[in-house]
Amino acid sequence: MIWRIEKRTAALARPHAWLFPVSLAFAVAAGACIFSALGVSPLAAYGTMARGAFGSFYHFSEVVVRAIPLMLTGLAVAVAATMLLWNIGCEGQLVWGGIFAAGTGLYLIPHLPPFLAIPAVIAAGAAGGLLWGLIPGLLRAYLAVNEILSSLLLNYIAIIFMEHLYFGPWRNPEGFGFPGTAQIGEAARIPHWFGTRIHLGLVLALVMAALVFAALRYTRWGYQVRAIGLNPQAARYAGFRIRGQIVFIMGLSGALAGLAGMAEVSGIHFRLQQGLAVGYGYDGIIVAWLARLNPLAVPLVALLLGALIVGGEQLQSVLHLPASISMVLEAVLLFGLLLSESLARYRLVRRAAGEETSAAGKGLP
Amino acid sequence: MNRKRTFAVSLVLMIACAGLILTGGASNADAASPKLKVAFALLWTIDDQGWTTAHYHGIEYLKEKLGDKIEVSYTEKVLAADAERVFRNYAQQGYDIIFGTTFEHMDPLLNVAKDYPDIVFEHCSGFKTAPNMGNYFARMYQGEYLAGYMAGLMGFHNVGTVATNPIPEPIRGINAFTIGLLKGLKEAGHDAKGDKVNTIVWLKAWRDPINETTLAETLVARKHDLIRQMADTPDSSVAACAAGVPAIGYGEDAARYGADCALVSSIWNWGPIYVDKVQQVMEGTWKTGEYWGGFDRNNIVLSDFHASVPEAVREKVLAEKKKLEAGEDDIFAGPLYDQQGKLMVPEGQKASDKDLLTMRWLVKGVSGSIPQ
Repeated sequence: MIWRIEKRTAALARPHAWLFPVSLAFAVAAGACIFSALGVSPLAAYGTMARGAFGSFYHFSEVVVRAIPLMLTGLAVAVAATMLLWNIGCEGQLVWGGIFAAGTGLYLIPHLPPFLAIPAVIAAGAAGGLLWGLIPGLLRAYLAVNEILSSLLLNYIAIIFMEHLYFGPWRNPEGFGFPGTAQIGEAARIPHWFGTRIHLGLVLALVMAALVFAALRYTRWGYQVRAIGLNPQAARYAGFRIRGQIVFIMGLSGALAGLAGMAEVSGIHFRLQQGLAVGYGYDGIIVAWLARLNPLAVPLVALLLGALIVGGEQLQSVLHLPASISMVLEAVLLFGLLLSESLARYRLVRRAAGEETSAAGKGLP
Repeated sequence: MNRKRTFAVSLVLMIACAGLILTGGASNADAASPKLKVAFALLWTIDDQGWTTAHYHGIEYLKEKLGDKIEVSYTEKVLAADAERVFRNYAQQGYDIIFGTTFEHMDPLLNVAKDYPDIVFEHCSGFKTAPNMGNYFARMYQGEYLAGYMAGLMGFHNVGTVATNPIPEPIRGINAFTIGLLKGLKEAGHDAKGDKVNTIVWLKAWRDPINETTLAETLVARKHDLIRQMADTPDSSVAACAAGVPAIGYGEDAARYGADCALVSSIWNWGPIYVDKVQQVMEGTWKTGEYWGGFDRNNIVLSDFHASVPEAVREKVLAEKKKLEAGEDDIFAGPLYDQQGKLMVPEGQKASDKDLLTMRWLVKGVSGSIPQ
């Protein structure tokens, strides 16, 4: 008897209902095996993580802080992927959002009062990301350049340019020559709440998630985007302006990632410095896929990932496990999703050996 | 049927895991003890073979010396955005002294220090302090000076340096190395006056193994006779060895990490600082301040020499090291000229610590510039 993997002929009835729980269960189980291998009781490890992420209001607030940029980059990836565009360039768009926000706060409007300065910084951040997102968008729409490559490569340019700024012309004159710009003024910092580091970026992210969801679901524009994503050929026959949509979507996606960069600069770092481009753009891809491109699910998944990372830190400081542990858990979660996706699409079939040979023999002349 | 089977397979896997869980290590919760609690936030992982490994060796030294009186915890990969949380978390857990070990930890550490006046904070490599936050650093340039001196005595006069970030600390190190190199060349009878004896290329990063290798290979291809590593990983030294050119290691002993051609390495030695600071907190004598020690306080050490370094050279270098150990640091004594020949430190004077900490010019003899 032989086992074979076959594509399912009929889709499962309600895949979403169990895909996520299955991947989560897989991740938890695999994580437990890893903890055991490291000589730590999984119960103690998960307990420590849970306390680290949800043990107090402060800890939970830090989960939210970590989740804010992931929400925005996750949305950025999801909105583009809805139309089958792969924006791998969120990292660079995030960086440009940060550059524009910092530049605006430091040089353009250093003396404006907060009620003008904050909207200006937010708009600048979105504009920075938008412009950087337009480049792969235009290249794709008019020159058929693959946006995966162009957006990815643009990340490195953005990061190197930002480094040039804070090592060179924008370096803090009072910083003893150390890299990093001066801090942006109080007026240009987005507000923080509840005595924590939770900042205005949270509201922006939630509002954007709702707007993107509503726009995709209920507007004519959203219908076109979804239709193009499902079948570009058919959409073209239907007379949709595909080029314009590509440019628009990449710009929108870039602007969302730019907001993430703006929020990091104006809400957390208060300057451009090393440690701004730490992979939120790439984590956004994981968030978007775990959320199955649903804009409303993105904030929840971002929170989950944030909890994993913040809780994972406790594994280091309390249980003295290595730093890579939270990345391993993140990877296991993604593998769980891939596994459950495969379960949804494929099935294991058992065949008698003879049947197998004859089936294979049919193909021969 | 198939779905049932899938569930059966999952179930078996789960049970297997559950077995592991139940037999897994028991939690090793410590009973409450009056031990002093010491925490470190580290830039990267403890096996980075450079900056963080050096701090980790310091932590190991601390444990070895005071292990029965303290409880130590560290967190790896603490980047700027996460630093404040990691520090606050340690503060909430009741740690008595918390170390931030990289430049970007400075502002987050200061923020947390303000909220926890009873906890001691120490920051490595920055310039801000508070009543309960001191800073510390080591005079690495002394070790770089000795390495340069050794290279000069051995006649290397076309050194290629893979430099890191164009900021005062590496600039100071490049200058000290070049000053030592010129001194060594002069004593060895080479007339290197006005020559460009040390060519620098910038990584613009503290660690970037791929570019470290590329730049080292480029320098070798341009016929430089010695490659000087400044980055956090030994990769530029390793690349030099692979190309058959000797190297000089930095931060950790490069010869221990695969660069067997390294003539010598100048090494961070944080251990004694950590023991001092922790002991001061234990005894209640800790005070804020700026600490900057070199060979005189054993905060920098020189690795063993490579077998190919002649005995006469070793003696001279070690004699120069003795002077530094005795506190006689005249490395940046005038007259010192910059690359354009402008007098920067006049005869009879010495660059002050403030000059050194803010240094943004390269001494005569260096080829290359500080990128703006």
